[in-house]
Amino acid sequence: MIKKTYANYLLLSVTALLSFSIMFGYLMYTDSEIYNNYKELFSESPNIILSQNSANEAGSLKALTNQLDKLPETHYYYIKTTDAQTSFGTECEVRLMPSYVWGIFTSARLSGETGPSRLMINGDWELSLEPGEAVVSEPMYHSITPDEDGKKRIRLVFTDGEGQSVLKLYEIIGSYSSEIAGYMKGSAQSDMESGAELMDSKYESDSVMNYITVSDPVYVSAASVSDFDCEIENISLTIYTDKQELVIQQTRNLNLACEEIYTLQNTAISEKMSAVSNKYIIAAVLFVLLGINLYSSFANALNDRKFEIGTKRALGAGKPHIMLQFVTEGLAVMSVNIILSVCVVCAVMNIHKLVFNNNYIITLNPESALLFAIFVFFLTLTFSLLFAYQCTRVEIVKYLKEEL
Amino acid sequence: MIESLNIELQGVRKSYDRPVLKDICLKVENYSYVTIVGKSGSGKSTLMNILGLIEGFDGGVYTFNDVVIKNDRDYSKLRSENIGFIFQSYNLIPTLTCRENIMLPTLYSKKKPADLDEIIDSLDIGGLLDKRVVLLSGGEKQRVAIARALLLNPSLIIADEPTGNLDRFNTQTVLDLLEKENKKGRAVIMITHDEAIAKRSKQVFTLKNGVLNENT
Repeated sequence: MIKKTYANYLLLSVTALLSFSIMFGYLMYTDSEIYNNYKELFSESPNIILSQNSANEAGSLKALTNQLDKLPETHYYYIKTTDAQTSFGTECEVRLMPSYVWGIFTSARLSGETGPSRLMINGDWELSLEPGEAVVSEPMYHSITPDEDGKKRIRLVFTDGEGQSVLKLYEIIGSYSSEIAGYMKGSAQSDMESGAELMDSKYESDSVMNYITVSDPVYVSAASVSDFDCEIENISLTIYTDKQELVIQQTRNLNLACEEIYTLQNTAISEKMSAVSNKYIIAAVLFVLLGINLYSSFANALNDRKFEIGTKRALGAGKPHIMLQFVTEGLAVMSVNIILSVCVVCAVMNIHKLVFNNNYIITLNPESALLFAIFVFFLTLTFSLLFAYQCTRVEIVKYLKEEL
Repeated sequence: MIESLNIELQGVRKSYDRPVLKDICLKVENYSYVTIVGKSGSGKSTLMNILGLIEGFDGGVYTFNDVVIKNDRDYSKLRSENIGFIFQSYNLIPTLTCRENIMLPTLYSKKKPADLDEIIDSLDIGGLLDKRVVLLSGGEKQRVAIARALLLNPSLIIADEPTGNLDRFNTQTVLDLLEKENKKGRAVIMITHDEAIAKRSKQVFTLKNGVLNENT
C-alpha cells in the first residue's frame, strides 16, 4: 500500500512535470528560435546604402540627396573610397570619413544575406576621426609594430590626380573586428607571393610575429586628404531616415541600386507574426492535451486514495476537512512540479546552448511567460479543486473495506 | 467522564435490490453491550453503518441523543464526538505512523482528547507508536485501532468483526478490552458471526432475512 501510494504520487508528479515542462519548453524554445533567427536582422538600424561606381551615377546621386534634404528626420553621409599603398608595399583600400558618423555600414554581409551590416569599432557604433587619425581592422592592428613612443602608426602613400605620390602618416586610434578579414603570416611580400597560410580569428602577441593584413579597408578622416586632389574610386551614400519606403522608391526612380534592410525586416516581421500565431495555436492544443493527461492522473490518484478518504470520513472528517487536505496536496504537488519543470527546461536549454551553439540566446517573451502562468494557474487550481471536490464525494461505506 | 448516550431505531428499513433491513427496532444506552450475529449478507454491516451514521436508511426513525437522523445531512461532527469505530481490517492509514493514526480523529474534532498515555498503557502499545502500521502484526494493528477509537472518549463503540482477522490470543485481548471499556460506561455494539464471541456480550441479536430478533 505504501509503495502504491508513493507510486501514485510519483505518477501524478511525473505527469505534471512532463506536462509543465512540455508547455514551458515549447514556449521557451519557440521564443528563443524566433529571437535567434531574426536577432541579427532586427539589431541593425534601418539604413540605406547606395554606391556610386560610375561617373554616370553621380548626377542621380546628387538628385537623390536634393530630395533627401527636403525630407524631415532624414540624415545621410558620404564615404569616399580611394586606394593607397601601405609602407609594407601592399595595396590598400582607404575610406575617407566625414568628421562624424553614427555608424559604419558596409554592403557586404558576412552571412550571405543582402542588406547593409554595421561595423563596431572598439565597442562603439559611432565614430569621429580627426585629421591624422585612422582606424584599421583588428588583424591589421596586430600586424603593425608600435613606434618607439608605443603608439601604432600607419603610413599611406596616395596618388593624386597628376600621378604624384603623397605620403601621409596616421596614428591608429582604434580597430574594428572583421570576420572576413584574415592576415598573412611572415613578411608581406614573400608570403603573399607564396600564398602563405591565412589565419582569421586568433592573434598572437605583437612582439612575437609580424603580420600583414589583406583586403581590409583603412578608415581615415576625409579632411586629412583635402590638401591634394585625391583620386576617388567609389562613393557610397549612407542614409538614415524614418521614410524608408519613400527613399527606397526614390532610389528606384533614379535607377540607383541600394542595399537596405527595411524590406527584409518587413518580411521578417510577417514571418515572425506567423510563427507567433502558430505558437499560440500549438500552445492551445497542448493545453487541452496536457489537461486531459493531468485529469486522468488526478483521477488515478483519487482511486488510490478512496480507502483513506472513506476511513477518515468514518472517523469524523467532514467534507471541508477532506476538501482542505486534498486541495493542499494537489497544490503542493503541482507547485513543486511547476518549479521543477522551469528548472529542467532552463537546464536543458542551457546544455543545448553549451553543446551546440554558444551564441544561442535563450529567451522567453513576457507574453509567453504570462501564457505559461495562466496555463499552470488554471490547471493547478482547477484540478486541485476538482480533485478535492471529487474526494468529498467518495461514498464512505463503499470504500471502507477497500483494503481487505 | 463518558457522556450520556441514548440511541434508538424504530422501524428502520433499508433495501438495495432487495429488502435488507425490515422494521429494525433497537435501543442502546450507556453500559449497553450489544452483539449482532448473522450470516454473511444478512445485513449486519448495513445495520452497523446506519447506527454509525455513515449510511442512510429508507424508512423508520433513528434518534441519536435526541437528534432525529435524516438521510440528507452530514453527521461527521456527531460521529467524531460520540462514536469510536473498530473495523475488521483495522482501517489504519498505512502511510502514517501508529501515533499519527491514533491522533487522526483530533484533526476533525474540537473535543478534548482522553489521556493518550493512559490509553497507550492500557493497550500496551507504547513501543509501537513511532512504527509504521505495515510493520505491525494483526493484533498490534487492532490495538492501535482501538486506541484511535477511544481517543475522543466516545460514548459508543461500534466494532465490525473486530476479531475476524485475529488469532485466539489476540481475540481474547480485544474482547477483554471491549468489556473493560463497557464497564466504564461506554456502549458497545459488536457485529460478529461467531456465536462464542457473541456470548460475552450482555445482549445478543440475530439478524436473519432482514429481521432483528433478540436471543433469549
